[in-house]
Amino acid sequence: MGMKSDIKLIDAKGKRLDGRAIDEMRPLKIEAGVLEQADGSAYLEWGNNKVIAAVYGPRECLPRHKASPYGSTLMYRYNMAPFSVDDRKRPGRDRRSTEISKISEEALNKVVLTERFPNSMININVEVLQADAGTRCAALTAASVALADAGIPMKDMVASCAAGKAGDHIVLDLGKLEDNFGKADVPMAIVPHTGEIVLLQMDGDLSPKEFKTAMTLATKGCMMAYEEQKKALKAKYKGGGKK
Amino acid sequence: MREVVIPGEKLSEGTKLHAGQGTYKADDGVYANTYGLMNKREDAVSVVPLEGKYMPREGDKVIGVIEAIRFEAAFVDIRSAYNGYLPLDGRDRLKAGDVVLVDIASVNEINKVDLERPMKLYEGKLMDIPSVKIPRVVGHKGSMLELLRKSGVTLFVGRNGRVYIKGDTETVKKTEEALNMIVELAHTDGLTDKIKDFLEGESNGNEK
Repeated sequence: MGMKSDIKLIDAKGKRLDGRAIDEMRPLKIEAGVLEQADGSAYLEWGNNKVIAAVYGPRECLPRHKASPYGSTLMYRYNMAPFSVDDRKRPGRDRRSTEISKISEEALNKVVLTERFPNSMININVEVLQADAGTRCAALTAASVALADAGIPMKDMVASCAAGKAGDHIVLDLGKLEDNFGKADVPMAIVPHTGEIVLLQMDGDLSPKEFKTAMTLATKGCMMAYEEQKKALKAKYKGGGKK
Repeated sequence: MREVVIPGEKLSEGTKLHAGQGTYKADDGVYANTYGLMNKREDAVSVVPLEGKYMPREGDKVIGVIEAIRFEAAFVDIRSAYNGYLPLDGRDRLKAGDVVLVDIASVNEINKVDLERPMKLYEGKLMDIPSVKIPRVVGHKGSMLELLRKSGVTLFVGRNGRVYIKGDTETVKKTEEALNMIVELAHTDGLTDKIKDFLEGESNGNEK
């Protein structure tokens, strides 16, 4: 964010570096039920982002002190593979992944009917295999599909997408260069049917007016992501067998 | 073929319909809360789950594996989020690792599971399948089970998705294949006929 460069992020015709219009999302593809061992799983490709999500549980809560008689404890783990970025990401937890895990966990807590499973835990592991801006949104979108695939009761899905400011325009779903050299990034997650916002962050600077435009645009993006989630889950049991 | 629905999908406009299993009522309609198949009738709507862990229910017969014996009770793994608690009366000669067919005596509000009447299962083979597919393995009034047992195999089906098979190698293998087929085709129609064809050797199990 905010790095200096001479790159023109948006050309005279209003096209972006990768040829997208300002309100166009990168191509999104989701597949549900890709892992044998997990109770639920999903694989997602969003532009050049590649993310795999696995859900285990509800199962016995370990460590024990995290168990709650009021409901299941969600444990969300966002992790980037060392090979997911150019150069190398130092493996393991860091400030950034801890933050993303926390906010994504809180977002999902709003929809999962945790009260059905007191004293248990639900593990959600999301591994970023290839990163290209917007991975927290990609991860949360995949995690939501994996949760549904695990048969865990939820009020609704959680769909996520980002908007931001590149050059002087508010654009949907920032790409890597737009993220690095743009002016602001607003990742957002919503509950599609109620429109409730369950995740909202901002990196960079936006005027109140710009912020509102970005939010409207991101909401639109979330709905597009939701349609893909729906497609992925319905495709798993289409026609004859599981395949 | 019933429709596949996902959590949060609107199943009906208005709140007149009774919201059955896997659904909930909101201000403007009935919504699904589980990924599954929709069952819509005139007066009610429900969702039969396609995935998910076993939730213990009073009266269910399950197959468990004994994890530990402590004092006069056994802790039994019943493939759920919760272990079962089985009080022993001294006559039961059970040890950790034993496989038992047990009844669920009670489940309380925090899902503490009490078990009763264990029956130890010897030898044989234990197979794990998704618990949501068990109703199809049993069939309508046990019709599928009857079909599977025709070969003379000893077959016990636990509601928690564990199946115990005992018999000669060939029959056990064939039964296993039939069970895998049921799991794969559980959400399709005419399942009993498909399995019948398979067991009688008219199908090799590859057709969908």
